[in-house]
Amino acid sequence: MTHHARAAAVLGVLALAGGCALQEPYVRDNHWDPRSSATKSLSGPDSVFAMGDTFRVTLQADPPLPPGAFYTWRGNEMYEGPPPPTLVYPAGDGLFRVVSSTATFEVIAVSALFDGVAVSRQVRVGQRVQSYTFSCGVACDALTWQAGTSRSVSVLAADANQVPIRRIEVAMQRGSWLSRDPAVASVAATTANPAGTITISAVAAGTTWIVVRLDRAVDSLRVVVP
Amino acid sequence: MRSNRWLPLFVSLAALATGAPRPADAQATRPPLRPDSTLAPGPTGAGFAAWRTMIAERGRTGASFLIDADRYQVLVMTPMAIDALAADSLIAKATKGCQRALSLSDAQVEYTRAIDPWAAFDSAAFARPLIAIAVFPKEQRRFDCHAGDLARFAAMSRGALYGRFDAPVPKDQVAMVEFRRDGLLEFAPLQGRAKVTKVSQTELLDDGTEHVRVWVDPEAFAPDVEGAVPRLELHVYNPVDPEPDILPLPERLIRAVWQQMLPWQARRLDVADDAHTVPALHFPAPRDSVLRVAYAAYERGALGTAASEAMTRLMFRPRPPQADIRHAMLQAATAFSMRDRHAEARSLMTDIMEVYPCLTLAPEAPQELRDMAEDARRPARCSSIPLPVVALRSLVPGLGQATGPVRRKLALGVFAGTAASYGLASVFESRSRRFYRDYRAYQGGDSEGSDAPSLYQQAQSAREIGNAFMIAAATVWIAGGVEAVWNEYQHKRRLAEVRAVGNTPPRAAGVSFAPMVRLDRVGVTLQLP
Repeated sequence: MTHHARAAAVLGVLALAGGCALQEPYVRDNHWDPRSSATKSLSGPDSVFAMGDTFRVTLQADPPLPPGAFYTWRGNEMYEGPPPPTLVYPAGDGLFRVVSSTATFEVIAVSALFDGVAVSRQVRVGQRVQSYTFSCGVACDALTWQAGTSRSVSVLAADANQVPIRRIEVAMQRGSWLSRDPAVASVAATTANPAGTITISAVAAGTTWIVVRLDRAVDSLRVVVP
Repeated sequence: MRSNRWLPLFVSLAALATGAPRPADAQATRPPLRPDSTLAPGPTGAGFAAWRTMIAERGRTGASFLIDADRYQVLVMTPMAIDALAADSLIAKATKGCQRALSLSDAQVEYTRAIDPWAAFDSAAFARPLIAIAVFPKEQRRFDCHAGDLARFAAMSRGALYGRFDAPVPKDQVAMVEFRRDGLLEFAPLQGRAKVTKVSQTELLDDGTEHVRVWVDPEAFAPDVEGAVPRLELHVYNPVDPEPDILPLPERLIRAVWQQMLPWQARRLDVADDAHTVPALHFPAPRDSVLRVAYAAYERGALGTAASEAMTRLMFRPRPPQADIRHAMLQAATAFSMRDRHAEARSLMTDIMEVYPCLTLAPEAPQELRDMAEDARRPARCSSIPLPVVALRSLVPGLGQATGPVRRKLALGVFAGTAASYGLASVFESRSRRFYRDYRAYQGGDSEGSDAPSLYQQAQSAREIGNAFMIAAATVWIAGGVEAVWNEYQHKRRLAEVRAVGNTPPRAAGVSFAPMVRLDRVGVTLQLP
């Protein structure tokens, strides 16, 4: 064989040998593939405490999502039977709105769906008492207390969006009340109740304050026993 | 030689003069049911009875041949084949094999053991080397339920056929058989007829159907001095038609039958000429103990004994080493050639050259033998290629095999196998890339069935199939290269073995021991100077 022929043969063999390489398994990194090695996560607030509030979650993906990638946002709007007391609706582009909530803090999963693949974030949603007023039937300051008598006083609470607290008894379970001077007036042992009432007993003549704390709201009621 | 050649010629001329036999003639000349007399050994058969007895004691050998024609079937048997099929147990074994298919009783199976209509004829022909040819009417439907071909042929040799049979029709019967060589009627020293036992569903039928045997001289199967195989035909007459059915015997059968008789023919070489003639060709001493005896006879010039011993040994298993077989056949060919038996020598040389087309004889070889080798030489590559060159050529798939016409198919196979595997690997790899591209581009929301997992699965599957084909391509390629080098190495070795064969100097005298297995004894040979 001539040198050229040998060189051609060697090159041909090298080319063939190069072409003969076995191929490694493909990288599985499609975000819409449940068995993909791609990672996705949602970031955003971990709790929302007022009905009507909105919150936004942000999707992080590695590798980055291509422009125009198709995925859908989902709260807990899909349900069967009667609507749950806490409802979070997606409003698009990672924005969610609390449509319904109560004083019960519930953990709701908000998700971005890539076909059958979901990436979720858990958010605590409920109504936290932001403000309240006492309801005594008449103006509370005008009440006359007689030693040895008791009266029921209701609490009218609202969240940060001034939406009345639903299921106030749950907020009452979290709350506390006390008398500054139990020798003048005392608060009876109170069970949480849907009406949000507490029972105050006048003990002896004098003046004192009944302090009630519900979530972050604190207020006092002046009791004067003649 | 063919001392009675004039006789068939005379009979044939007589037949031509009187015209073809009529059915009535055929009936009138029907072979007898019993032999008239016992055949004498004749000029070519002295010592044959003892020889065939010795062969039969050594073991079963000798093939029989069956020819299927339209209306008839023909069984051709050498004397060795007749002896091999003679055991009563074989027909019983054949019937036993068919017992279930044909719903036969144990008594019927046992009965067939006693069927032997040819015993008297075989006894009468025992001392003479003759080829027996039996012609049978065909079964309507044959049952291949026998326990092997040996048992089946043994049953046929006794006239037993297995299957379904119609009522016998005269034109399908065998009335008379003529054996013709190159158109001329051959003399049959013995012929006879016997009933056919039809082993059918639940019964053994004897409906008068007969079959016919003729015994002919093996010389009728001999090729001419040019090595051409004769044209042999059987003319089978039925009882009603004036014209016979003509059944030509296949060329391979004729050669095989004649070659089976060569050991006996070789034995007669020394009878013809007792003077020992030391041959000019010398071969290496064989490893096989029986062939060593033949080798010793050859070296001292007992050519007939040498050829006969060697060829008899080759009739039996286990087969000797290939080199021993080659040298034994060359010794036999040399022996025949030196005794002017050129037809036999040519036949042997043809067989040798068929296996070793590059064989060349030493310059000491007789010119006739060298001519025979050249005549029988078929096209072959009788040179070798350096192994590094073969290895380099094998880098192109199949080129290592492309060394001659014999290996062209293999070369094409290697090339096609490698190319096809590589092509398929590329096709699947390309397909897998396409699927993977779709997988990477998938962004959800498409119709069902084209989701990401299925796209990935298809891509990966196609890639794995492509890898498998790539492995196959590499395997065929590498194996082709290894095969090419190995084959060339073997070719080179074989060429060296068969170059200038016959110039090995006779072994120097000395004391040697060798295990010995002869046809009639086993022991150790001690050779003294």
